[in-house]
Amino acid sequence: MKNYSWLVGLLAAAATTAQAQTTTDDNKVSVTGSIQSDVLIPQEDLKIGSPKYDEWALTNSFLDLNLISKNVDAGARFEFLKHPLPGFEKDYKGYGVPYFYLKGKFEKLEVTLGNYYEQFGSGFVLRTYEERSLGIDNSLLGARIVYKPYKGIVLKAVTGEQRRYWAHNNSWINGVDLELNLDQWFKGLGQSGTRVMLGGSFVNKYENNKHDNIMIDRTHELVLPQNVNAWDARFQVQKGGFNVLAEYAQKTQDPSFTNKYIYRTGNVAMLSASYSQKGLSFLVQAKRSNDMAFMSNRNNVGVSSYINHLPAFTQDQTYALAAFYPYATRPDGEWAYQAQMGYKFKRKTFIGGRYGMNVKVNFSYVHAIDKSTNLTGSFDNVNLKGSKGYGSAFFKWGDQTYYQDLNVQIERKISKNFKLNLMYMNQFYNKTVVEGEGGMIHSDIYIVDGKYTFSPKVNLRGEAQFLRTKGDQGNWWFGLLELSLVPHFMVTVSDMYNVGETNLHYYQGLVTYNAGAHRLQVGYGRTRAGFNCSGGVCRYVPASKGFTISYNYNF
Amino acid sequence: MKKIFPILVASVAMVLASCANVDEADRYKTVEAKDANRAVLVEEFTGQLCINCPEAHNLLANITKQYDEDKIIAVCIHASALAVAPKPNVIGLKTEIGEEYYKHWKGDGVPSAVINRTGGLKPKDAWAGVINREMQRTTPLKLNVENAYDANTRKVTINVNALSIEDLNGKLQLWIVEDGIKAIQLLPNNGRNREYEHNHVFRAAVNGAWGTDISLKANDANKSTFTYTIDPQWEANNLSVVAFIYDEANGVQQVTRQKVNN
Repeated sequence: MKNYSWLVGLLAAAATTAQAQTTTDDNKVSVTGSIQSDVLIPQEDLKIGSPKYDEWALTNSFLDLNLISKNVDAGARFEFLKHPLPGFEKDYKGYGVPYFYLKGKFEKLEVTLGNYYEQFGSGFVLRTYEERSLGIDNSLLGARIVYKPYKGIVLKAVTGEQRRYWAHNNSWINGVDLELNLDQWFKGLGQSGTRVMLGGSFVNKYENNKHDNIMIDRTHELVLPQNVNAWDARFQVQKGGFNVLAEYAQKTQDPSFTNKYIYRTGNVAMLSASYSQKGLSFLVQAKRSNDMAFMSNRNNVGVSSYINHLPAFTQDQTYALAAFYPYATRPDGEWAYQAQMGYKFKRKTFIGGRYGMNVKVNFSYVHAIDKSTNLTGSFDNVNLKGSKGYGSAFFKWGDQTYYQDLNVQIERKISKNFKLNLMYMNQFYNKTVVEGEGGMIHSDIYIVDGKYTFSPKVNLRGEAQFLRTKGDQGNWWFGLLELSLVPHFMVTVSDMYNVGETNLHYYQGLVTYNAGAHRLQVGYGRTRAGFNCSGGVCRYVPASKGFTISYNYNF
Repeated sequence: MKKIFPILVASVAMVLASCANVDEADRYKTVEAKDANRAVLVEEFTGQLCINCPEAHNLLANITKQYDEDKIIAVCIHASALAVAPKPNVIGLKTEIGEEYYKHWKGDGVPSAVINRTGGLKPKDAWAGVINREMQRTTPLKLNVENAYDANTRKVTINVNALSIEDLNGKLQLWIVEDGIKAIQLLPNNGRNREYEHNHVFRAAVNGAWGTDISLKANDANKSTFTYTIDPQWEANNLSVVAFIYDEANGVQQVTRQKVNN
């Protein structure tokens, strides 16, 4: 990938000029952007498995710059990942300007040239996004059009090649998406407050197969389809607090490393219903996916190169021990269910107390789909490659539970100065399926989080967490104290302690300083090896120890 | 037109979606079985904690069977976080030099392999195709090894004979590999085999991690001699010397393998 650092410099100069000019409102150019830099000065610590590094410092740093005007936007991002933080894939290393765009905005039309992110529906056939903590940036480089010819119609078209770290995969992606908001056409719907959306998408991936050479035996080679097509249909109704979404997507044969080069179609179906009003919310949803990993490089290994994204039906947890065993969505298929309820007990009631009480309950359950070997199409009736792979009855479960959790959270203000959060989680985590070995880990997690406000400028928050399990490394304790000196300072100390097996402490101390849009955090401590997950996608993070510096600036 | 347009788009999409599928009869193409022009080196990176690695070992064994046995020289290099370091009560097959090789090839997971030191690390499904392609590449080089082993001193004298039909400059690399090591290996679905038989395991580099310079003149036989003292933990009857010559531009020019104790 070429180094377009000169582009960032040009944008910065343009931004400075734009700021200096006196312009009319129509010609006003505003500058936005951000700087993010995370630095680790690592230390070897063989007790926790933190290795010695060749570099004295490791950093992931990003500079975003955007020029925004009425009709034209332009932007670029400089990334410095030459010595990246631990745990990212090898090809993540590099530096340059991998992201730049020019966007024209007109009355009914928006055109983007360069890099862009896009999602069709829930992302079953196309979702390109950036998630820095996971090292994911699968933007497309090409062109994107969004056209709204009449009210209630949104048409999108995309074309381009997909970014994979510092290069682009050798395939081409085209897609169209159409959404119809029927309430904009039928007065009755609009007047009754009912919103109805019909949507459909089509995505094609063209990938040459001349150099793949996937051989069955010495004299026979697979003929891999050069075109893989996927389509998506969705229907959504919203009325008052009710919202129902039904979505289905299907993909043509897509033999790849991920599915062991079988020739079967993939599909995903989802049904989601929710209700919310002041003080009460419900959500129930179910999803079945089957061989729906859609990648821009059929031979790719790892987290990069996904064209689509299957949403997770498990909650992303922020408490340390609740996030200890995070589940990653299975690309080969799963049945996933989720139910959530939120209720606010009003203040000055018996249960609600003086200030009211929020209760949230979440239940997530993920199970294997049915799979029975089907060698139809196999060359020799033994080799899986080239065959259909397996049959899968739609409503039938497979024989393994992948994940289950039930968690209950209570938030209650006890007094004018003291607020308490309590959480209990019961969790089943199939470590063999997610990580390759370890069996089913059944754990109970207890969390107490209290915050005391001494004055408008001083508050102290403390957490105590306990994870109880007989599996893996046994029980863990976690404690945290956080002193906030509003508006500028925050001091945090924490420790995670393995009572069960290793008796290791993972201590950490952090000092954070905020000033306007600037945020600087400096710390020291140990980080346990584990998984960092967001939206069902996970990255393995090795253990580390050392000084950390984190700087953020948004403008 | 407003109402027909979405139906039209959906119809076209569904037709196009079905056109991409490949019928059963069209999924395979025949490749001519040509005689191998040379031997091929497969540096297979693996680990005792790697649950998918036994399948890769079997795959490579099946590929090897399809050619003459001496045409594919596989070496298992235990490296990465899934390899086990040797400890007093644990038979671990990880080596420092193996880790150095893994880092050099930008290893990002096991199982993976470098074939003839061309094209970088490949996942297991690509091995058969790359090996087949490498087999067809001609080489100007003939290489053979003769070993003399003294069981009393555990010293092996390695004589390497190289003959090239054209001038050739590169690196000569000698490795000691061992077959038949019984040690733990993790298997899929939480299985483990404590007596798994590990074969062609990389044990040591005789002449440095990256070999020694060698310069060959056309049609001028070259002989070099090395000695190595075998580690007392290794079974001499299961050891072999793997010798190969490689260069940056062409990768491995030729490779051969010879038992230590003939």
